[in-house]
Amino acid sequence: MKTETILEVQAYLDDELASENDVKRVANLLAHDEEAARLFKSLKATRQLLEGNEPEVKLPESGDFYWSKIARAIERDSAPSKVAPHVTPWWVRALAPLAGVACVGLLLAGSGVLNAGGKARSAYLHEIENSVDDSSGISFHSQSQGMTVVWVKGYENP
Amino acid sequence: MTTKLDYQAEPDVKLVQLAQKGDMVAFEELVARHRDKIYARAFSMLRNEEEATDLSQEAWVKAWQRLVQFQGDASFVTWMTRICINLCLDQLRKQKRVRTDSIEQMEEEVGGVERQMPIITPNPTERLERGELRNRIDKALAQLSYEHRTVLILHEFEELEYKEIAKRMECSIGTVMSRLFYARRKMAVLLAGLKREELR
Repeated sequence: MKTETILEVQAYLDDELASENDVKRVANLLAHDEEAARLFKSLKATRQLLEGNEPEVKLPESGDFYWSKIARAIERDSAPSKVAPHVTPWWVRALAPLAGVACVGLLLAGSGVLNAGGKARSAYLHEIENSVDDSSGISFHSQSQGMTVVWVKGYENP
Repeated sequence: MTTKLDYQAEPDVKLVQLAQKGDMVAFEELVARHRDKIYARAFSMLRNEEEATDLSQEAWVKAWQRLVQFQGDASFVTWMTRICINLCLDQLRKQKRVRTDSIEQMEEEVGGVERQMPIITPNPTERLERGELRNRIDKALAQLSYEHRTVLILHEFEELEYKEIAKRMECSIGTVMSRLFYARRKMAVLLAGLKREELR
């Protein structure tokens, strides 16, 4: 018997055949094919044997102990977190995209793209123009004093 | 004057309603009523007491968390069993108990086993005590691979259709049919073998 036929016989037993035509065809096969009928009988007997005879298994521990573990897990899961969740105010969330734009603006301003050549530039944005080709510089910045000192040293040709 | 609720006397439907409102005592009563059945389903699939205990408890915790989703389309115990089955299937997948290199399975895939295994018809009318028969079935089930056992359990005991089994086991309907056939044939052989062994 072909595997396909075997599985059709089983599907017939389980009432899983797709169409009425299939049901009629397999019923006809069972009526005329001895091997198919024998297979059907065997499958049916096995199914009947299992029907309503599922092995009974009992919980291997006491009901109270079993429940106590479930209750603990439920309580653990439902306990509120001790750390209050951080909630960002709506206006901060709304302004967040603007912060990025502001950063880009500041960078551009710092690099002199914006307001280039304008008189309103802050003192700390003044460029030091160095016309000496062979030169070096040392800078010092004091956070407390809020100032930066730059020594520029030029080398003159002897 | 308020009367104290007798939880043990209430039907499942009422207990579920109470539990959905957060009544843990009602839920405890549901666990007490159905714990053996849920554990038995987990054990039948996993064949390991410890794993079955842990997993069935996990199923109860999940049920509590999802209780608001329970609409009552099926009975509570059916809904609960489905949660347990899904957890068992996940667990079995994780453990990768599928042995694709097994000769037996390779033969099954090509239909070799169907041809090799003799057609044995167990006699359902044989006079056996129910307990004894269940014991034999349990021994035979233990000898099946997890895929065959699971398909058989889902079809014969949970009465799921091929399509539903395929969905849960993440395989084709053809595979379900083939596995079910193989499982039935092997059960017939094993049950007949056990009979002969016990007669000696």
